[in-house]
Amino acid sequence: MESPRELSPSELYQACDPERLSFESTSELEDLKHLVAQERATEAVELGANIDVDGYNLFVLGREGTGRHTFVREYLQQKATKESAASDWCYVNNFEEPRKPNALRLPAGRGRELGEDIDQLLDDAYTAIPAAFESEDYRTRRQAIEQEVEELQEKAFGAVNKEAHERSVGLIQTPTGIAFTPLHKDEPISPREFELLPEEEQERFKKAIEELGQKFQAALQAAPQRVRMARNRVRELDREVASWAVGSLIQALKAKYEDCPDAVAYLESVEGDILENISLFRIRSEEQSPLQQLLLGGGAARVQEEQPAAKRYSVNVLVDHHPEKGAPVVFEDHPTHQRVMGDIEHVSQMGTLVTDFRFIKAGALHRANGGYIILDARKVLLQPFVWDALKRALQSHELRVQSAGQAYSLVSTVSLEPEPIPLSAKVVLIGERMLYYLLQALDPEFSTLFKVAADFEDELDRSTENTMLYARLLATLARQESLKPLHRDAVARVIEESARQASDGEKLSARIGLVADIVREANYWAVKNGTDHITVVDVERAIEKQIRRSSRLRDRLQEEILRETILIDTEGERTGQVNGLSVIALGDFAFGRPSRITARLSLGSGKVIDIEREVELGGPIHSKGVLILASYLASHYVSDRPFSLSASLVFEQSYGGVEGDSASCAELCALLSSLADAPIKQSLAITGSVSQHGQVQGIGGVNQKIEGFFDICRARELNGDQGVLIPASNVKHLMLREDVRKAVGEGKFHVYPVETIDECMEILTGLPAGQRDSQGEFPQGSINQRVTARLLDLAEKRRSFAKDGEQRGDS
Amino acid sequence: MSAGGNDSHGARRLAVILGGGDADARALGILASVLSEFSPEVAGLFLEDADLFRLAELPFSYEISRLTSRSHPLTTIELEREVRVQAVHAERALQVTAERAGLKWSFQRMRGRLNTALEAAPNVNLLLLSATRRSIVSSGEARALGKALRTSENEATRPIVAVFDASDPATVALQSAIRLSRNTNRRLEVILVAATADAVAELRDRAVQLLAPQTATLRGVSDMAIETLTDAIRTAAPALLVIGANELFLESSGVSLLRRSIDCPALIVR
Repeated sequence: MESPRELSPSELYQACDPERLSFESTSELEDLKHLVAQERATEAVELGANIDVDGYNLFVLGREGTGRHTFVREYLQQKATKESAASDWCYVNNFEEPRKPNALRLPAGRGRELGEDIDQLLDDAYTAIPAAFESEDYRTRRQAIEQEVEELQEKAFGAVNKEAHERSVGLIQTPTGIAFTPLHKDEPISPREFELLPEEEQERFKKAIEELGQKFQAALQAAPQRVRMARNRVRELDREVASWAVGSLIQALKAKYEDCPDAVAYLESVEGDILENISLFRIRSEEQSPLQQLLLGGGAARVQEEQPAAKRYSVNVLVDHHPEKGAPVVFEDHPTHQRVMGDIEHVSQMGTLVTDFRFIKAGALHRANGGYIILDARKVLLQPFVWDALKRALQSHELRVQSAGQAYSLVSTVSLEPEPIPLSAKVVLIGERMLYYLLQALDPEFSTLFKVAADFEDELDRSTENTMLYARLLATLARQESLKPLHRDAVARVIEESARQASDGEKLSARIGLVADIVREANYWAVKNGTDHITVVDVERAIEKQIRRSSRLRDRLQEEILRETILIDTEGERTGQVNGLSVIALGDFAFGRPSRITARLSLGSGKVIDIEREVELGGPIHSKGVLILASYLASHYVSDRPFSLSASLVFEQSYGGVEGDSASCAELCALLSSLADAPIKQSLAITGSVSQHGQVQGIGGVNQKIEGFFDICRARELNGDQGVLIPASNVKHLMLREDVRKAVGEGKFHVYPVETIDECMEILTGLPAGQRDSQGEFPQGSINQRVTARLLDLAEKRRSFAKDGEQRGDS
Repeated sequence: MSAGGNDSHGARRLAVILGGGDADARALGILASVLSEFSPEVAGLFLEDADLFRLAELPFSYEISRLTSRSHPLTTIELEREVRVQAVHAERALQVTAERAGLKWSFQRMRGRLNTALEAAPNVNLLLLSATRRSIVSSGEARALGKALRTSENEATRPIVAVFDASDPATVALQSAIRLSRNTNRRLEVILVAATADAVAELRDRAVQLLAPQTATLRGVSDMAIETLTDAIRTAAPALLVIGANELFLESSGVSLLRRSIDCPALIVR
């Protein structure tokens, strides 16, 4: 049996040689203006942002810290500055249907201008209209109309009066009307006097009163028509005067906004409406009664600010853009329904909630209309109703302001239906990959609305070019955040740490955020040490402190292993027992934990019991691994006989869930050890998954797993036998700590790359695994021969047992 | 209250002669703003027109509704009921107005003519007579016309008008009008009444002295005929007329004519 191959210290760590960095300090490096090795994602962003086709909105996916937000925002801002500014949007009163306010579109910057001009117009009108109506000309013409009516009335009633007088009849007012009475010497005749009159005279009075009554009724009935005519004439006069007072003001504004058709149309409607509502300008709030002020809500101060005409004609500038700042780029960090879609606010008046066009508030989509909006996908999905509303807006290309309460009938108040605003904005959602794929799978509308996926890499190749770009990235970060420049040794160390975070010696982590945190913390120590540059010592310290802050649980677990509460042997040999390795991830910190895996055998029907699965602590991938190893056992050793084994596998002292198949290799080794009755060296630990053909396959977290076992061994004093078996395919991922490398260099610890389960068993037991000879037999005494023999023995026993059973059944 | 700072001119009691209807409410509305300054006590007198009841007793009498122009028989029983309703309304309105001002108040009904009512309040320095419509139109028409006109002229802008003829009551009346104008924030117009133009000029000087520093519009009437004066008053369209009770105006016919000719409450200062 050959000695197993063991990794040298240089194979355990892909160091970054500072000597190969062509600078002394990052201060010599130019800023990096693009992302490193994210061409696929940046191309997608460019396409999504530039293509002007329906549905080509962007979903930027990738892990947190890969620079997605920064890149997207900077790219869009840079692009937007070269584009024309978006339109301003205003809401104004719809005089014909106030529940449906009208939207006005104006060139950038002119919305606010129009609002100010209208305010000025109203101020001017408050002066001009009362002045016109207080003029002598107006009063004279109005009084002439009144006079005419009065004269007509007096003429009509005067004629009746005159005739009544001539016929000795008087008119007298009753509580509810008019009555006629016979007169004698201009005084009403009493009933007694009337009775004394000759019958002829009495009849004459009766007839006169009846006729006069009819004439009086006719005069009364004609009066409303006269009043109506007078009223119309007064109204016409008022319109004429008001038109004269404000017409020139509005005409000037129409000329000013002749290039804005919406504004001109609104000014025309204002002009017409003012003429119909002149009284608004003739009673200022100071003249309102306290009751009116109370009814209008708010205090007196508020009422004074809010003239009735302002409530009717002011302009609600919903979105105001600067004409020279390009298209808008809006990032909404808190995407509630109101903040994204806008809202209609209400005010309380006498216990009732009321609103009007002035209380329509813009949402982020309004502000981004004509430009770009960036939203966090998770937040959008977490906020009630936002996702649906966003999709609806994108599908209809319209922005309808509607409060969520109103849309879902959660509140019952009178509200508005503002005119929809055409929507033309590029929506960029930034989120995790899981969200993207879930939306793809579960929401059929998603793929039609977000056709461009910009997938940011988590890792990038650790090429010479990328290493230099990474250094420039660190230089840029240091400059942008006013950190000290990094010495090249420090850069090399950061790059190594980046590779470790990528869990791959040949890759670098694209999660710049995590690396940036190391640099920031290293800068802290550099400042504290008073050095000019961030040195490798500062970086080491920053990393060490980060680990220390996060490693409480790791330390407690290791402590319990060392106190032998959790049983892990690191020396001696045991049959059917092996040290497996698992990784516990807590946020951004992960550490390895050795676990004792044991296997027990008995005669059975070929079933390998995964105790973790039986108690629902094992996940599906772990169960898959167990089934694969059972298949390997059955097919590799006794494929022509019944598999007459009952085995149980367990992670000892594991009380949480077990997931993943990285322990399947260890589990198979425990089983084989038990079958072959070959003790396993407890000074070794093993990780790796196994295929049905007995090949050892790669796993994740290899560095943490090795270091986890190393820490326990070191704490118990390294004896030179200890080590870890890892899949050969994981060698390239190794970025082990310096202390591990040192121990390996001194021969105190070993890392064995393995490719087959036979190799594993040879290293773990010190016995040859054995290859089948030309007869298909394993060499005597080899692991495989012993396993086969045991399985055959079990099969035979089972057959005998079955035969005995049949005989007993026959008898 | 001390008009012009002289208690001798102050009213000890204020009589309000009400005739029923909307005009009473307007009279009391004006009264409310100054009531506590003019008098510690207010006596309401509801005047039931005796002529009306005599008319109702005639066998063929009927009335034409101001609201609908329809005619229907006028009976004493119905008239009694309507007058009673008006009196109750007037009493309640007076009660509310007086209690709001913290004043003692009394109310009585009296059937007769205006001069009877005036005789019933001999010790009263101020009388507030509510308006009687001068032209006979239906109240519906009046409201409609009023609405049309109010679009161009606010009721609140109508002035306080004082009639000044240099008599002692007229001087007190002017001083009262100045105070009313100030309290109600209304314009003040003064009608100067004298027999000749020269006399009017003299009155103007005296009025200016009394007014200072208050400003007012002054109009002269160089004719002592009551009809000329009522025309001037009508032109001024007052919210309230304040007039001194000199011999001319205190005559029952003068007061009656005044009452028939203007459409606003009149405060008569004796």
